[in-house]
Amino acid sequence: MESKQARDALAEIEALPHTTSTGMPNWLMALAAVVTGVAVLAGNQAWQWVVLAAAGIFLALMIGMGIYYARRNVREAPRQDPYAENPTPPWFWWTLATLALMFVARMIEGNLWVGIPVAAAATVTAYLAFAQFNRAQVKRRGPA
Amino acid sequence: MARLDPVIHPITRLKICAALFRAGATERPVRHEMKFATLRDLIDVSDATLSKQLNHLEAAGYVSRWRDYGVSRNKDVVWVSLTTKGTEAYSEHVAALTEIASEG
Repeated sequence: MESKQARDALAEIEALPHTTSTGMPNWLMALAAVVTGVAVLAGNQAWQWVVLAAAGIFLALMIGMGIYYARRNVREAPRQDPYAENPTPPWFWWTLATLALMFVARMIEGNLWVGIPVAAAATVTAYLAFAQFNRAQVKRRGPA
Repeated sequence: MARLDPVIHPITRLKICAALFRAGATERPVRHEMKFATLRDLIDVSDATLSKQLNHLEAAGYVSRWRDYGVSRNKDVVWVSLTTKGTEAYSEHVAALTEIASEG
Protein backbone atom coordinates (compact mmCIF):
# COMPACT_ATOMS: atom_id res chain seq x y z
CA MET A 1 0.00 0.00 0.00
CA GLU A 2 1.29 3.43 -0.91
CA SER A 3 1.50 6.25 1.58
CA LYS A 4 -0.90 8.37 -0.47
CA GLN A 5 -3.56 5.65 -0.27
CA ALA A 6 -3.03 5.41 3.47
CA ARG A 7 -3.37 9.19 3.84
CA ASP A 8 -6.57 9.12 1.76
CA ALA A 9 -8.03 6.37 3.93
CA LEU A 10 -7.15 8.30 7.10
CA ALA A 11 -8.64 11.47 5.61
CA GLU A 12 -11.86 9.57 4.81
CA ILE A 13 -12.34 8.49 8.40
CA GLU A 14 -11.37 11.91 9.73
CA ALA A 15 -14.05 13.46 7.52
CA LEU A 16 -16.82 11.38 9.11
CA PRO A 17 -19.30 13.51 11.05
CA HIS A 18 -19.04 13.29 14.81
CA THR A 19 -21.77 11.66 16.81
CA THR A 20 -21.32 12.23 20.48
CA SER A 21 -24.23 10.83 22.35
CA THR A 22 -24.73 8.21 24.97
CA GLY A 23 -27.88 6.53 26.14
CA MET A 24 -29.74 7.12 29.35
CA PRO A 25 -27.68 5.52 32.13
CA ASN A 26 -29.14 2.40 33.67
CA TRP A 27 -28.63 3.77 37.20
CA LEU A 28 -30.98 6.65 36.39
CA MET A 29 -33.66 4.18 35.33
CA ALA A 30 -33.11 2.24 38.56
CA LEU A 31 -33.39 5.47 40.60
CA ALA A 32 -36.69 6.26 38.90
CA ALA A 33 -37.98 2.80 39.82
CA VAL A 34 -36.93 3.29 43.46
CA VAL A 35 -38.58 6.72 43.73
CA THR A 36 -41.76 5.36 42.18
CA GLY A 37 -41.67 2.38 44.55
CA VAL A 38 -41.30 4.65 47.61
CA ALA A 39 -44.20 6.78 46.41
CA VAL A 40 -46.39 3.70 46.03
CA LEU A 41 -45.36 2.24 49.40
CA ALA A 42 -46.11 5.56 51.12
CA GLY A 43 -49.73 4.44 50.93
CA ASN A 44 -51.89 6.22 53.50
CA GLN A 45 -49.07 7.82 55.42
CA ALA A 46 -49.52 11.47 56.36
CA TRP A 47 -46.53 12.45 54.25
CA GLN A 48 -47.65 10.58 51.15
CA TRP A 49 -48.54 13.79 49.29
CA VAL A 50 -45.04 15.14 49.70
CA VAL A 51 -43.59 11.89 48.35
CA LEU A 52 -46.12 11.72 45.55
CA ALA A 53 -45.44 15.33 44.54
CA ALA A 54 -41.70 14.67 44.51
CA ALA A 55 -42.24 11.48 42.53
CA GLY A 56 -44.48 13.34 40.09
CA ILE A 57 -41.86 16.00 39.45
CA PHE A 58 -39.15 13.37 39.17
CA LEU A 59 -41.16 11.23 36.78
CA ALA A 60 -42.02 14.24 34.63
CA LEU A 61 -38.31 14.94 34.36
CA MET A 62 -37.68 11.30 33.55
CA ILE A 63 -40.26 11.33 30.78
CA GLY A 64 -38.67 14.47 29.35
CA MET A 65 -35.23 12.92 29.52
CA GLY A 66 -36.59 9.68 28.10
CA ILE A 67 -37.89 11.51 25.04
CA TYR A 68 -34.58 13.34 24.76
CA TYR A 69 -32.54 10.16 24.98
CA ALA A 70 -34.86 8.18 22.73
CA ARG A 71 -33.97 10.57 19.94
CA ARG A 72 -30.28 9.94 20.41
CA ASN A 73 -28.68 7.38 18.24
CA VAL A 74 -26.07 5.81 20.47
CA ARG A 75 -27.11 4.26 23.73
CA GLU A 76 -25.91 2.04 26.51
CA ALA A 77 -26.83 -1.48 25.48
CA PRO A 78 -29.23 -3.40 27.70
CA ARG A 79 -26.93 -5.58 29.78
CA GLN A 80 -29.32 -8.46 29.76
CA ASP A 81 -32.67 -9.20 28.30
CA PRO A 82 -34.26 -11.44 30.94
CA TYR A 83 -37.39 -11.68 28.84
CA ALA A 84 -35.46 -13.29 25.99
CA GLU A 85 -33.54 -15.59 28.33
CA ASN A 86 -36.44 -16.66 30.47
CA PRO A 87 -39.65 -15.12 29.25
CA THR A 88 -42.44 -14.68 31.72
CA PRO A 89 -45.37 -16.57 30.23
CA PRO A 90 -48.19 -14.33 28.96
CA TRP A 91 -50.72 -16.12 31.16
CA PHE A 92 -48.92 -14.70 34.20
CA TRP A 93 -49.49 -11.13 33.07
CA TRP A 94 -53.08 -11.76 32.08
CA THR A 95 -53.79 -13.39 35.44
CA LEU A 96 -52.16 -10.46 37.20
CA ALA A 97 -54.19 -8.02 35.10
CA THR A 98 -57.39 -9.93 35.86
CA LEU A 99 -56.71 -9.90 39.61
CA ALA A 100 -55.92 -6.19 39.49
CA LEU A 101 -59.11 -5.47 37.59
CA MET A 102 -61.09 -7.58 40.04
CA PHE A 103 -59.62 -5.56 42.88
CA VAL A 104 -60.55 -2.30 41.19
CA ALA A 105 -64.00 -3.59 40.37
CA ARG A 106 -64.53 -4.63 43.99
CA MET A 107 -63.51 -1.19 45.16
CA ILE A 108 -65.98 0.36 42.77
CA GLU A 109 -68.85 -2.04 43.27
CA GLY A 110 -68.17 -3.10 46.82
CA ASN A 111 -68.95 -6.65 45.77
CA LEU A 112 -66.39 -9.14 44.49
CA TRP A 113 -68.99 -11.28 42.67
CA VAL A 114 -70.18 -8.31 40.71
CA GLY A 115 -66.58 -7.48 39.94
CA ILE A 116 -65.66 -10.85 38.43
CA PRO A 117 -67.69 -10.65 35.19
CA VAL A 118 -66.72 -7.00 34.81
CA ALA A 119 -63.06 -7.91 35.25
CA ALA A 120 -63.34 -10.88 32.88
CA ALA A 121 -64.95 -8.73 30.20
CA ALA A 122 -62.30 -6.04 30.69
CA THR A 123 -59.52 -8.62 30.45
CA VAL A 124 -60.85 -10.11 27.22
CA THR A 125 -61.29 -6.65 25.74
CA ALA A 126 -57.79 -5.66 26.77
CA TYR A 127 -56.36 -8.87 25.33
CA LEU A 128 -58.08 -8.34 22.00
CA ALA A 129 -57.04 -4.68 21.93
CA PHE A 130 -53.40 -5.47 22.55
CA ALA A 131 -53.16 -8.67 20.53
CA GLN A 132 -51.67 -6.73 17.65
CA PHE A 133 -48.68 -5.83 19.83
CA ASN A 134 -47.83 -9.44 20.55
CA ARG A 135 -44.89 -9.46 18.19
CA ALA A 136 -43.14 -6.87 20.33
CA GLN A 137 -44.30 -8.42 23.59
CA VAL A 138 -43.33 -12.00 22.89
CA LYS A 139 -39.83 -11.29 21.58
CA ARG A 140 -38.38 -7.96 22.52
CA ARG A 141 -34.75 -8.29 21.57
CA GLY A 142 -32.60 -10.79 19.72
CA PRO A 143 -29.64 -11.14 17.36
CA ALA A 144 -30.30 -9.28 14.12
CA MET B 1 4.98 -2.77 13.59
CA ALA B 2 1.22 -2.68 13.28
CA ARG B 3 -0.30 -4.64 10.42
CA LEU B 4 -3.15 -3.93 8.05
CA ASP B 5 -6.26 -5.99 8.66
CA PRO B 6 -7.68 -7.48 5.44
CA VAL B 7 -11.21 -7.55 6.88
CA ILE B 8 -11.22 -3.83 7.72
CA HIS B 9 -9.16 -2.77 4.72
CA PRO B 10 -12.08 -1.99 2.30
CA ILE B 11 -12.91 1.66 2.80
CA THR B 12 -16.60 1.12 3.63
CA ARG B 13 -15.74 -1.32 6.40
CA LEU B 14 -13.05 1.01 7.68
CA LYS B 15 -15.59 3.83 7.81
CA ILE B 16 -18.08 1.59 9.62
CA CYS B 17 -15.52 0.74 12.29
CA ALA B 18 -14.39 4.38 12.52
CA ALA B 19 -17.95 5.67 12.93
CA LEU B 20 -18.69 3.15 15.69
CA PHE B 21 -15.35 3.71 17.41
CA ARG B 22 -15.58 7.49 17.41
CA ALA B 23 -19.16 7.51 18.65
CA GLY B 24 -18.21 5.19 21.50
CA ALA B 25 -20.40 2.34 20.26
CA THR B 26 -17.96 -0.22 21.61
CA GLU B 27 -17.95 -2.90 24.29
CA ARG B 28 -15.59 -1.10 26.68
CA PRO B 29 -15.89 0.15 29.32
CA VAL B 30 -19.66 -0.37 29.09
CA ARG B 31 -21.19 -1.73 25.93
CA HIS B 32 -22.80 0.95 23.81
CA GLU B 33 -24.50 0.53 20.48
CA MET B 34 -25.52 2.69 17.52
CA LYS B 35 -28.69 2.61 15.48
CA PHE B 36 -28.30 0.97 12.09
CA ALA B 37 -29.99 3.97 10.43
CA THR B 38 -27.58 6.41 12.07
CA LEU B 39 -24.59 4.39 10.93
CA ARG B 40 -26.00 4.26 7.40
CA ASP B 41 -26.43 8.05 7.35
CA LEU B 42 -22.98 8.66 8.83
CA ILE B 43 -21.12 6.69 6.21
CA ASP B 44 -23.59 7.53 3.45
CA VAL B 45 -24.38 4.11 1.99
CA SER B 46 -27.57 2.20 1.25
CA ASP B 47 -29.21 -0.21 3.68
CA ALA B 48 -28.23 -3.16 1.49
CA THR B 49 -24.59 -2.09 1.25
CA LEU B 50 -24.30 -1.52 4.97
CA SER B 51 -25.98 -4.82 5.74
CA LYS B 52 -23.63 -6.69 3.40
CA GLN B 53 -20.52 -5.08 4.87
CA LEU B 54 -21.76 -5.72 8.40
CA ASN B 55 -22.14 -9.39 7.50
CA HIS B 56 -18.41 -9.54 6.71
CA LEU B 57 -17.48 -7.72 9.90
CA GLU B 58 -19.82 -9.85 11.97
CA ALA B 59 -18.40 -13.06 10.49
CA ALA B 60 -14.96 -11.91 11.62
CA GLY B 61 -16.32 -11.16 15.09
CA TYR B 62 -15.68 -7.44 14.77
CA VAL B 63 -19.24 -6.19 15.23
CA SER B 64 -22.39 -7.44 16.88
CA ARG B 65 -25.94 -6.66 15.85
CA TRP B 66 -29.09 -6.77 17.93
CA ARG B 67 -32.67 -6.29 16.89
CA ASP B 68 -35.27 -4.61 19.08
CA TYR B 69 -38.57 -6.02 17.89
CA GLY B 70 -41.36 -3.57 17.14
CA VAL B 71 -45.02 -4.12 16.48
CA SER B 72 -44.14 -4.90 12.86
CA ARG B 73 -40.92 -5.63 11.02
CA ASN B 74 -40.55 -2.10 9.70
CA LYS B 75 -40.74 -0.84 13.29
CA ASP B 76 -37.79 -3.00 14.33
CA VAL B 77 -34.62 -1.17 15.36
CA VAL B 78 -31.24 -2.79 14.70
CA TRP B 79 -28.35 -1.76 16.95
CA VAL B 80 -24.70 -2.21 16.01
CA SER B 81 -21.71 -2.36 18.33
CA LEU B 82 -17.98 -2.72 17.75
CA THR B 83 -16.73 -5.72 19.71
CA THR B 84 -13.52 -5.72 21.75
CA LYS B 85 -11.86 -7.78 19.00
CA GLY B 86 -13.11 -5.27 16.42
CA THR B 87 -11.86 -2.32 18.47
CA GLU B 88 -8.39 -3.84 18.73
CA ALA B 89 -8.31 -4.71 15.03
CA TYR B 90 -9.46 -1.20 14.08
CA SER B 91 -6.88 0.48 16.33
CA GLU B 92 -4.11 -1.68 14.89
CA HIS B 93 -5.28 -1.02 11.34
CA VAL B 94 -5.31 2.75 11.88
CA ALA B 95 -1.85 2.55 13.49
CA ALA B 96 -0.59 0.67 10.41
CA LEU B 97 -2.17 3.26 8.09
CA THR B 98 -0.56 6.06 10.09
CA GLU B 99 2.85 4.39 9.84
CA ILE B 100 2.51 3.94 6.08
CA ALA B 101 1.25 7.51 5.64
CA SER B 102 4.23 8.90 7.55
CA GLU B 103 6.70 6.99 5.39
CA GLY B 104 5.79 8.95 2.26
